[in-house]
Amino acid sequence: MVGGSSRRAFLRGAGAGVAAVPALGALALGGCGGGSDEVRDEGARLGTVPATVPESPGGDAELLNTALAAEHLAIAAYTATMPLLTGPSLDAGRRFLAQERAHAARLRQLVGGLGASAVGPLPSYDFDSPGNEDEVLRLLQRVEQKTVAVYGGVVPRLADPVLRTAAATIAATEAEHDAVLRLRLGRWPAPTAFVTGGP
Amino acid sequence: MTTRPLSRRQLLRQVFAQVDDDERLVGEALLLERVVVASYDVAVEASRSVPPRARRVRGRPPLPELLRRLRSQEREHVEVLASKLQELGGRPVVVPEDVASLARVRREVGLRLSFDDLVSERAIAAFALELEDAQMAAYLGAVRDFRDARLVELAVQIMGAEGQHAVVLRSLLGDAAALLVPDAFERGEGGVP
Repeated sequence: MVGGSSRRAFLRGAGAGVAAVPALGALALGGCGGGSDEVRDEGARLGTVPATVPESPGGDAELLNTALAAEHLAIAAYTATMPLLTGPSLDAGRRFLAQERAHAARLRQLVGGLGASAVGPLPSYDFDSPGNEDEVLRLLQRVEQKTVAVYGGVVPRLADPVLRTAAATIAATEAEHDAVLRLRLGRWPAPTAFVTGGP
Repeated sequence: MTTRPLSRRQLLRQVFAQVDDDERLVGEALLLERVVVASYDVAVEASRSVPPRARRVRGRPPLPELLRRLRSQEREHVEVLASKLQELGGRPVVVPEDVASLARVRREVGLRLSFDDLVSERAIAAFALELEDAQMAAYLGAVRDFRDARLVELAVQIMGAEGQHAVVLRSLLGDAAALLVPDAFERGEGGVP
């Protein structure tokens, strides 16, 4: 656990005013991400947005802030759990934390460029209390999976093609983090042909 | 005045720059996916005759099976894109089956590595990684240019899958977990550990 606030507080912070992004509803950290996923077909999950997306009330800045909130969660998760990682997992964790920070910095820059204020991290985050390295890797993998889901909802809704491109480069990186964490857990890293971040 | 050869990314940009609507974008993505599947066919065959690595890694199947899994997902992409193209009224392109013609089409879409390079596990992994990088670069362009948000969503989902394929292949090229995601912003520009 990090600090005293609940994950519900995070969900409130992340999803405020962006109810149109369905992936945000799935950000709770518990109970997702099974272990037997050699081959998983998520084709049925395709097509969660309409052809033409209604403009978000807060515009692209609000959508980017939704992604930024997910990045803050990921940063907190890596920071809090790093002491339990060792060897190659620790090396990966350090690199991924640096990459999540780079994502957050880029998103803050993009939000600022739109004349809006970037959301900050919550005062604290409540994670399940992992007791060993495998539990940490599973927690981090679920965080990455949900971050992918957030971007999957955000990117198609961004009106500006340049912002879509920027967010897509991050979304693909998060999918790669997910794959590496699966690999560290001895699981097949690429279980689906369509990465939605879903379980 | 000498002319420098275009990089893969420049060639892909050139291909996609000529596309001005969703139908043509989907058609181009489908062409690349079909080239990738056909290239994986050749790589799978080659992988059966190269010596396996001495050390096996937890969760990693032998190379022929690993490549078949990746190819299977590429085929899923082909199916979905072909269906989308049909919905848009487009006609799918056909990729030649003979190796010589396939090699020509590969060069046309900017793939540089040759079938002659498939002589070791490492070389096959590098060959396949080039395919995945090329697709990620192409889908990134599609994310930018698609007008239909459903196609943007699809492109992001497939790009994520190609990124995960890239992780699998990078793990064959170098075992350092930290190096399997070389860049914080994946653009399909390479990154062999």
